[in-house]
Amino acid sequence: MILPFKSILTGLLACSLLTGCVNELEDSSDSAQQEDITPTPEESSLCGPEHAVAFTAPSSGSSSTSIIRTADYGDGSHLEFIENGSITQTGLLANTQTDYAVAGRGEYFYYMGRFGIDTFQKYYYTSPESGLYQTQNNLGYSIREAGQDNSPNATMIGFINNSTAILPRREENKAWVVNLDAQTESEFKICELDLSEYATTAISDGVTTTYPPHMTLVNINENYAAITMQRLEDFTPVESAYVAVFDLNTWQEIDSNPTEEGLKGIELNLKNIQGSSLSGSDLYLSSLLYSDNSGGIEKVSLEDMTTTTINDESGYSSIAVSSNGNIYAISYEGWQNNGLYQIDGDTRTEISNTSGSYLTTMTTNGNDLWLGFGLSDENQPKIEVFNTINNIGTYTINGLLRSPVGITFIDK
Amino acid sequence: MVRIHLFYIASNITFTTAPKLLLLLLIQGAYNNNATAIELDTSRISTPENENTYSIYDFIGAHNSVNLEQFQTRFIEVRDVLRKQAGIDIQSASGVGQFATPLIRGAEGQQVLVFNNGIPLNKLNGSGADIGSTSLIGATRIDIYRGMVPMELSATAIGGAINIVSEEPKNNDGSAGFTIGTYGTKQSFFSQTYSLNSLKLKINIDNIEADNDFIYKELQPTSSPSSPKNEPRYNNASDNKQISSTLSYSFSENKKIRAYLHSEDSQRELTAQINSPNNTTSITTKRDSINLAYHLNISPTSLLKTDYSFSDSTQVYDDRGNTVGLGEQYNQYNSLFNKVNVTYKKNLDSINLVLNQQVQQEVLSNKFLNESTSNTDECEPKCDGEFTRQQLSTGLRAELQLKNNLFSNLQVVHLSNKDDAFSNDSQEKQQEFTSVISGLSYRISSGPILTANISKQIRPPSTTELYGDRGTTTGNPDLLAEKSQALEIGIKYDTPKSNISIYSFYRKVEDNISAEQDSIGIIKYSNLAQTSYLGIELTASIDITPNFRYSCNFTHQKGLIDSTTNDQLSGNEIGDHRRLSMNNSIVYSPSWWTINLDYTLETGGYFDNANFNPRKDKHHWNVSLSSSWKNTSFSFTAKNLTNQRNRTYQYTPVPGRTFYLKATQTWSF
Repeated sequence: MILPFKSILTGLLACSLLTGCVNELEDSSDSAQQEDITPTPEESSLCGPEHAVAFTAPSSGSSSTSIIRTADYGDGSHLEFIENGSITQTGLLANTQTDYAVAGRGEYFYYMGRFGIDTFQKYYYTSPESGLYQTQNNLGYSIREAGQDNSPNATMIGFINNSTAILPRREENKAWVVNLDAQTESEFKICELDLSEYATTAISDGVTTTYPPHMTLVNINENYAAITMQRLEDFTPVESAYVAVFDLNTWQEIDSNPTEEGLKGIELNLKNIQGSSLSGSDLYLSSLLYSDNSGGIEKVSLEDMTTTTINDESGYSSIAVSSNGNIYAISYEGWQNNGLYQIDGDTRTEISNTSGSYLTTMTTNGNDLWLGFGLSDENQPKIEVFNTINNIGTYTINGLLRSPVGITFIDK
Repeated sequence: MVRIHLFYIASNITFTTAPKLLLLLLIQGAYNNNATAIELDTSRISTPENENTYSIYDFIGAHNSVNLEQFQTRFIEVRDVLRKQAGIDIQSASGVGQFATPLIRGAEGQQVLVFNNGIPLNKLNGSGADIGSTSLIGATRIDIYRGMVPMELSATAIGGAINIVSEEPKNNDGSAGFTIGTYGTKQSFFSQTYSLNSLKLKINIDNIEADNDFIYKELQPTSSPSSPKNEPRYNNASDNKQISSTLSYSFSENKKIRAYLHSEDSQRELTAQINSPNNTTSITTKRDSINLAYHLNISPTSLLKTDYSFSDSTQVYDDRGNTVGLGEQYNQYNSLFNKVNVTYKKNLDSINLVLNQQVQQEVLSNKFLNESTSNTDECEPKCDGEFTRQQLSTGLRAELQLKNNLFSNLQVVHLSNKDDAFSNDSQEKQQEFTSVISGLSYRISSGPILTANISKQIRPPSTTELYGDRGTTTGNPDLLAEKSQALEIGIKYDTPKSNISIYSFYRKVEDNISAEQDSIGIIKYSNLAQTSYLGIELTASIDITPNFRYSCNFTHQKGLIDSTTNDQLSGNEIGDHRRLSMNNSIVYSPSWWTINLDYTLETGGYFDNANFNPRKDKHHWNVSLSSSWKNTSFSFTAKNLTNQRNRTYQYTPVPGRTFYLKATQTWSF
């Protein structure tokens, strides 16, 4: 009895030793083993006249469907579809990660994973959980280059037309111009916009640290693409923020002050820009300094490349301009302490007794203003829709499962 | 003699004022006057070998002690032992020596306190316990208190407590050996005991390291971000060196001193969401702890125990030049903890009275090592932070025998916290709390023991929750303590060849403290919800033959969000909790060899409170085969034979099958 057991034991021990030298595969299927993608040479990727595309404005769909991105810190995020003021679908694209951006265009919407996620996927509105970009990981195309081991953290999707968009990448020196109709990943990135001139350098204790330009926002009209950069150093807005303006026909950066040496972009008066909204050729930017909740609203003209601070009564986390030209901003007075204001030059008017509320996001759709209320002691997560003609609330969308953090529209 | 620890049914009452307490004691005393003969276990008081004034036996509730001797010959971590216990779930990052923390009946984080020989692994200022690097070399048992905890350990562990205990040696023997295993696991250990009359000494050394570079399917590999690849988990190693010693000396039958010393030097590599070989982020921990105890038997029926605990730890987090987290952090976190714990226990025929007084102080300080002004006045208010918490608690426990088979416990603890955040007068705060636990037990004839208890306890907010960190977290000085009310009923029946216990519990927690984030990412803690946990636990074992033993446990629990500031989530299951877990194991030991076969099933639960992301079922088979020949033993252990990769954290991969070979040489003289 003992000898067979000894043999078994010896065999097991031998197996364990041998197996210990061999890593266990989680999935041995052939599909898991893929050729690495060879990075594209940098020199050939910069945008030039050959990449010029025509701008088309989004259609202002009267029968639009709204998509609300909702999130709870530490728990997760998902999308909710709104039609005729009611939630029609909930729990879409649910994930325990929360750092996403959503943007609708035509009958499609695009869902982009930001810091650490780095994915970009396209959906048709009738199949909101079936990604159209086919990749082996089913996550869509990657914002990361092959071989890259940091997150580029693309922050926003700016549409030039139905087929082309610009992705500002916060942790990189270059923004991407991407092909939304790409059938393969190699077709996705069209070219890059170089903003490396806006990188900043800090020296501390003899150690030199270079920071990327921290591009966060992109706004596009028929002539220009304006990319706004925060230019932080160690998470602190030390250097001036800038707006770099690119000519859509040539993809060359416009020199806003050709008589002087230096950066071509428009140097902003305010720092740590949080939100933007483009009305014609006027780019409105909201600024918020976390240290004292100061900041303001700055108006940048893409006609003459000048900038003016139009309001500095407080810091503002978000800004939107309606079709009738009204400017709205969410003030930041403290933790979950916000207010919705209409900005009229250096004065502002509170809208609908919102001061002291927790306001999370805002966007305009024609003359409708969609305002997100986060979960707080006073409010359940909800959207209130205002008519910007008279600033009166027209209806409320209740029943959101989490706080709204993004709103976009698609056409049916 | 009937031991009091065999019986209890509990009833808990909360009092906020001393007169109410006195009134209750008078009532209890009057009741006891009518009781029949009292058979308290006074030997627990008068014997100097009894190290504590409490145990799992004479305290209320579904507590148990795990004898670690059964695991000595095979490779096992603390998390493996605890995972096999009813009502306990382990949340862990991947690999040997990496982060792990226990949940008891759904309670987590600061609600569950873990102690190493009475020295807390949690921070007094507030943090969950990390048991990932805790060594079992030299440890003899693990005491588990579910929900209700003796005041000598803690008055704030509303979820329960775990105490890893190294009993003093009784013989002169030793052991040494090594373990090798998959993914670079290497362990060498040594333990020696020495017992000479009144002097008892134990020394333990444990050195364990692991690469933890297991292969997993990465969905977004750096080389081809959209094409999954099987690749090693990078920068996931752990290296842990520990030495501990237990020393006791009896001056006489009535006087004894005991010391437990522990020193740890560990380093963990920290993985990132992007799996990269260029990641070098690490956290290094150095911790020295000591517990000194003086036992004085004042009389045959009274004992005075005085404990002093000290712990000094330094952790350095370094992710400079990496892509983990903020990517520019080089921070040092210091913790200095002191605790004086005085307990007096007196037997008064019909009642054991236990008085406990504790004074604890912990200073947490942060230094930002890549900030030139760190630790200087110029650094304020941006960088350095210091939190001091002093906790003073006074408690009384009465252990009564009301009738022959009916016993009762009552424990009342009043505690006050005095905080000082950032050494700033404006952020000083003092809060006072009261916790009450009491119990009754009844034994049916000489058979099953029926137990029931209820409790009302609190968990004070941590200093970070109250005052923030001057970074991404802002303080909330208006936070209320979490309040727990629990009810537990159960039955336990032991025979020489088998034992079975069934407990059901209901626990309601009000003013749950959770983090919220605002529109610009600033975090603040708030009292957000009321939650409840309803469950049943079954534990059984039977010796089918003298060398064949079957044991199992089964836990079904449901944690619900009863109400929260978000109406939409009310009624949902609490995220990150398992609904059902089951462990079955057989041990067959016919002669000089032993085989252990374990099967674990975990099902149900969600990753999120919205209940959109369900957790996958987990089926794990583990097998261990060990043999002993004279003083030498070998064991072969295979974990997770099914190679399932179910994750605790949705984006943290875990290893599949792992194998370990352990050799142990023992001796005695």
